[in-house]
Order: sequence, then C-alpha cells, then structure tokens
Amino acid sequence: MRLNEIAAQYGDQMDFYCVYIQEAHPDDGWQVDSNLKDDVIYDTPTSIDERADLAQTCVLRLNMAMPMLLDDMNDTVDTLYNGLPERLYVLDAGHKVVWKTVAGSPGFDPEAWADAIARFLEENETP
Amino acid sequence: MNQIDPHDDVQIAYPADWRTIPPEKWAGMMMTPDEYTAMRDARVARERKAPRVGAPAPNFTLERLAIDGARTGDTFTLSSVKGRPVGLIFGSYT
Repeated sequence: MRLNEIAAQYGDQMDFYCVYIQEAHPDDGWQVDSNLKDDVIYDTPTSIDERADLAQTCVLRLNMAMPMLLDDMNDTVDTLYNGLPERLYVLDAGHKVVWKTVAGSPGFDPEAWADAIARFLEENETP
Repeated sequence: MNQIDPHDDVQIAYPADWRTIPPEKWAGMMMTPDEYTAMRDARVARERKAPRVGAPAPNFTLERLAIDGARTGDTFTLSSVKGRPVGLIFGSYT
C-alpha cells in the first residue's frame, strides 16, 4: 500500500495520521461502478459505532499502518479540511499547511504527496 | 479527468462541464448531469472554507483507533504534536 510506504519512508522525520471521514460512495448515496465490481457495498453509517465498524474494516482490508482517527458524525474535521472524498495534506512543524492535493478524487495523488514531503523535508532540513 | 477549472477561485479536480469527462469515466460515475453539477458546486463551496497553502491547519481532537482499527475511547489532538511536521490522509472505505 503506497501510503504506508511513504509513511514508513519519512516516519522518522514527521508524523502521519489518517482521518476516517464520511463515506464517499455509500450504496444508498453516490454509488460507483468500481465499488460494485469490487463488492465494496455499504450503506451510509447512521451512528458513530457504524462508522467505526467501517473504519475498522478499512484498516484491516487495506492494511493501514498509520494511526486512524475517527471523525465525528457531524463530519467536523472533514468539513474543516474539505477531506471528502479523499485528500492528502502536508503540515509544517508549526502546523501551517505547506501542501495539499487538489480537492476531489481525481486530485488524490500519493506520488505528488511523496514528492511534496521530500521537497519540504529537504528545504527544512535541521542542520 | 484531472482538469482544473481556471475560472474557479479555488481548485477542485472535477471539471465544470461534465461533457468534458471521457465517456468511460462518466459511465462509471453513475450520476445524472444535474447531480454532477450539484455535487461539484457543493465541493467548490466546501473548498472555499478549507485552509489554503500557507494558512494555519485547523486544530482538532478525534478518537484514535487501535492498530487493528478497534475503538479505544482515547483521543488525539493535533496540537499535541506541534513541533513535528505532519502528513494527513483523509478518506473512507467506499
């Protein structure tokens, strides 16, 4: 899993966290062909427990190695960062945004994220 | 489909005109043109409120799951790791 590889590569220099947010393509919402083909068919969670169950499924099925944080049912952090459907950010040590993917699934680019991280760390190397 | 509309004041990865989406991609999206337009408008509105590059990242506190994804009841606050750069990944299983 590429995201795990990137986190492992740079984990000694920065921290990585996943935020589990509202479902991008629930079966009772905007379903997509690729999910039907992969048998990823789940309705929108209606409680934090249901969302947590899906988050656990995600962690286990995708073998996520980074800490997983669970967004609340008000989608608070998703809204703050416009994370839906999937998004990558880089924050500096003062937690200023230094890079983010273009919003939207087509903008989700792990390789560009890795390049941005490498560039940021090189430019901010501690002597 | 990675077209960034230059007329938007924010960048999102969905083109303003659904007709520019390749037919095979459009078929997989399983939505009507009106639904697409409404979705895109909502995404643009959300992006206008998101932190821009150079802006402070909003602080937050969320439940941190166990390594196997189980609930723990423990929380994590972003500001608790200030002083370290952070990579954030947002997503869901579907």
